Amino acid sequence: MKEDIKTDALLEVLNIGAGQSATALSEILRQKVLINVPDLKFLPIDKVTESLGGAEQKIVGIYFQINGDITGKMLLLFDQKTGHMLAEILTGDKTKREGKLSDIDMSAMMEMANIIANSCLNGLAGLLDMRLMPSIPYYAEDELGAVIDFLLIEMAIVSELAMLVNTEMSTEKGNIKGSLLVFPDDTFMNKIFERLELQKT
Amino acid sequence: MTETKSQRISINIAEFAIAKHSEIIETQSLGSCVGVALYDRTTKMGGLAHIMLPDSKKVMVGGKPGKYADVAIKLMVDKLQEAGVNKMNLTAKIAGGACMFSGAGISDFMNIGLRNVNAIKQILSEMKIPLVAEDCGANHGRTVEFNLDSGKMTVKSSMASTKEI
Amino acid sequence: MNHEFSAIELDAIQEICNIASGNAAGALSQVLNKRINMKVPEIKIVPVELATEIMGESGAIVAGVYSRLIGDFNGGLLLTFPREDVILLVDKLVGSPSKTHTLSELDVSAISEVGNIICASFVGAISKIINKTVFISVPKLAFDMLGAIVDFILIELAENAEQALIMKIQFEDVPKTISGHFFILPNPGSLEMLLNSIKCRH
Repeated sequence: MKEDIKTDALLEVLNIGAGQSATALSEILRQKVLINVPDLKFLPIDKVTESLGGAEQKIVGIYFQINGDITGKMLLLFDQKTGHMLAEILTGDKTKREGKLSDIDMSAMMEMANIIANSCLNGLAGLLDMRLMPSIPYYAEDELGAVIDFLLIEMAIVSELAMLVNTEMSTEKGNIKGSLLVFPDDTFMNKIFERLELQKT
Repeated sequence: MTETKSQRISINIAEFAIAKHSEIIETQSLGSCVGVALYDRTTKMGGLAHIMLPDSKKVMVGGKPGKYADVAIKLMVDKLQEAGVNKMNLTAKIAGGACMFSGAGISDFMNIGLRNVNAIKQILSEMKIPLVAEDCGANHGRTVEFNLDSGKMTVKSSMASTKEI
Repeated sequence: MNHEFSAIELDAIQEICNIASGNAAGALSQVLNKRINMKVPEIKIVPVELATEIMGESGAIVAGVYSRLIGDFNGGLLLTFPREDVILLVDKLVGSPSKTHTLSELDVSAISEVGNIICASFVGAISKIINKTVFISVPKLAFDMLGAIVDFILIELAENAEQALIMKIQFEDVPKTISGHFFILPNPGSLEMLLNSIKCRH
């Protein structure tokens, strides 16, 4: 099954990218930041919501369109509590956060996500020998189902599978777990599998 | 005095259901999707659909019938007519069609909520079903409960206050 | 002490700009689903005090998209378009002629996306030459007097940047040709790194 394909090569480039993001974030935050990508999987688009804890899970998400030689969509998401903790780490502002994050928090989250999105696409671009770049970031905070319904709509038309990448970030002020959801269009997905098949030998 | 418990019917994305008095149809996590409720106050019968896409003609992929506004609304009306409802008595209420992301964008995806809402209004108008209430747009997700006794739609949100329309 | 640029260095910088603008035009065409032609007819390297003068009238209203460079190459980036030209550009991008001369949220997004693509393309080209990782911050838009925007960036950067690389950028058929400027302000150390990388290649 396509989903069972060996993903080592992919994990490798994503971890290299994660390292680059961590270095940049360490510089910006003036504290040691480490980012690790322990695993990833391919799954049918209609299983995504379930995999992430169900439609009612409150999440913080930053969305990017993938542009370049191939296209797709990408969403970096955290459960709400983790997202708020991350905002605190990024801004150094310990005020308790009620409801949606403030503009300053959102801005900090988008900057961080921008670095992660860029390094992730750099890695994929290198692996696939293509040009890829992310759009500017777009922010959402609400129930998972409501945030991703448009993604399910748009991407189910062009692809059966999505890629779910687990990410772990550790800083001096706390550890963060997040998910990077990548929805490549069909061409993109085929290129990924082609490349992974080649790497198997 | 015995309390009549309302039976709850839950529908998911791209589904629809019809029901009668003493029943409640609910659906969750409407982002850019739209919940469309149809109601006949004389028979207290109606339906709720959780609609994903405006137009089935643009997409070749087969899928759940509730996915497309044009198909879902027609199917709901057919089923209600089979159950004895006179189409002329139907009214509609809609909720959803939000843009969940802050900052509009230059790409189509940002407008999908609005497109869904406009497509649905168009279809209702063509079918001569009056739209009597709506809670659409904005930037928050919605959960909808449609009560077949009262014909009222309760719109809840994690990020906004509850509305009854 | 301002560096004197040799012919080889200038050629190499022109080459970087050509590659970057080609990539940017390609990316813009793909994102906007429209054929976009972008040219870099002129490149000047000037002391930073002269930047505003080169780019236009200090009091002229421009849309400026600015971004910071993060990583091994530091500094700032600024893309400017005169007010009337930016309205035309946005009309072409967004497709609905604006009835007023103010920018809506959609327009701001559209210009930021364009800025993001141009900045990312140039930074990508630089990053390849120096063989190091460089990121850009999320582009921010300002719609104000040119002088005010440039001043703001210089303060933001806080370093004593000495020299600026200023390119004239042209988009054709928008319906007419519109011109803007793209301004790269590297920190002195970063500029040196770029020049050393260029030297090593030749």
